[in-house]
Amino acid sequence: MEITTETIRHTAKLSRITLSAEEEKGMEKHFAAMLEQVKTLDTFDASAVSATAHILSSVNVFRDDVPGEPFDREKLLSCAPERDEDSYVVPRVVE
Amino acid sequence: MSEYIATIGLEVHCELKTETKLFCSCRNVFGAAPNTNTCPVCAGHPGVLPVINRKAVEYTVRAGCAIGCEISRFSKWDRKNYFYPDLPKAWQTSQYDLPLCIGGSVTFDVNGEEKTVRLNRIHLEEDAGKLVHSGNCTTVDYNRCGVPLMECVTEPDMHSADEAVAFLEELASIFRYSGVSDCRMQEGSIRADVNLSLSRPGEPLGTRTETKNLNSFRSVRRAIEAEIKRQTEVLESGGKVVQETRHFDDNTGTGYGMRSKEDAQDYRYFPEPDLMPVVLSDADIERIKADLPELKRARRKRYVSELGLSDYDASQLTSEPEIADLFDGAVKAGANAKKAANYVMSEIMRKGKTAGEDGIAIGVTSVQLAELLSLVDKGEINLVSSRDVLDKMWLNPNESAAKAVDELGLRQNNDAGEIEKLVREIIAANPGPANDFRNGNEKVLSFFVGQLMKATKGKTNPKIAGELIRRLLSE
Repeated sequence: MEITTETIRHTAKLSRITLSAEEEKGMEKHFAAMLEQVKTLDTFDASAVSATAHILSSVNVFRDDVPGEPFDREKLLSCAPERDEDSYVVPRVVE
Repeated sequence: MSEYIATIGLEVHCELKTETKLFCSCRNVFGAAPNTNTCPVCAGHPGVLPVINRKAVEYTVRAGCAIGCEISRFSKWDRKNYFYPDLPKAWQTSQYDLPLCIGGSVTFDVNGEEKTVRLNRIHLEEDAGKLVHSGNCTTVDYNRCGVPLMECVTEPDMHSADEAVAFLEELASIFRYSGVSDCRMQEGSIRADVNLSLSRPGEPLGTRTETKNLNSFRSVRRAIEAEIKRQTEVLESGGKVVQETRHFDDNTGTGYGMRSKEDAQDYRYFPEPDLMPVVLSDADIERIKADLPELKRARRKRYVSELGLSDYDASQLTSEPEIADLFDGAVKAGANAKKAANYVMSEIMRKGKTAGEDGIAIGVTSVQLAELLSLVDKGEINLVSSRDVLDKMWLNPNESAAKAVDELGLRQNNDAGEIEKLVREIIAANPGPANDFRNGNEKVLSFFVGQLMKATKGKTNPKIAGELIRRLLSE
């Protein structure tokens, strides 16, 4: 896969990030280097390895449908960059 | 008005009525104060680990069994990535290529004809939070975030708003009867996306649009009708339908494109590393299947073919599973089907329904109802006073009908000798009307019945009273 300016712009848009032209160039190089690194995996012969959905073999890790102790809302809200009395506040996102 | 045929497929989102959320033990309830049912897992804090709610998986499998899906023996979880504040993790945990249920179909009646719509799949995923827009900011409530949500995807088998709405009604009834969801439209617990395209007969399907997040059957109908009209106008004027995601505004009755979401289709699904796959055995599936109650359509048919009810009565009695269960239980406890049907439709449904609300609240058990009907049948109380008995038993499952009748002093006087004495006194006290009756004025009979009811405080069996008065007046 070739990394182009378009790939960078598309990815930036999906991430809601604005990049300058200089930053785009930098990212292009960065992405290309990452892909090059990952390409190393192609040298491994995986023909004898069966496909898997997860690296671990356990399945069916469930919990019962029983409510736990309520978590302190204040603790959670206090982590937010912006909030009001009972909710998180973000820039207006209406379509 | 046009020669175009609409082809419609639906994606139906339905919240499961579990006690807790899909991946954490926060409560799954509607209407709580903002962010009170949240924790580090559903609020998307880093480093937390989700754990699957067993019941949510079972409910989804149960729903799949109810509509004849093939249940996957191996199912897994995936991350659907998108950046939007209704999901704090920036991805929705969902199922991509290996959903819990595959295929299936729903058969229903529409405009007097039987119609079957095939399903493509049902998968389980988490619901998103609620955004409230005000001024130049948006506030976020994550109470709904992580609530288990089934997504049911149909094949494009529908061709009109009537068919789509009838399908949705049947699907909602199947889920309600299966006990997996309340499907309450007002609470947003069932929502639909509509995929729609137009084509001329014999030609390939046209470009489709997707109208998102319709939260009432009425909106689905209006959105489909508006979109058929809009696409027809585009095509008739020589234009091309653009593939896009659209929003329907219920206030104006028109749809509009959501262009800013065009790129959002790039969800970059990948397997969820924090959750283990779900493996179901044949025994698991058989156990869940065995738990399924008789569904609406089958019951409705049985009420007509085995109990001899009219199709109208059968459809009324099966409108809610709670009503059908009550009726079935009463018949099983010995009540006459026709009489029980009439009583349930007139008295119970009137009492249990609240205007403007989905569903019904039933305050009597089927055993109480059967006993009450038996007392009416034996003439120990009349229909009018049975209402007082019903009131007394309502929401009081330990109260027996017979006990309530005695406590209210409503037991009818069926002692013919005692009633005869009273009737003779009443006739003697009213020689005028008595003569009128003897001269052929039948209407006077009701005057005497009324007098007798007054004297016995309504506790005389009206059938016995009428016959007796007629006989004594004719002596």
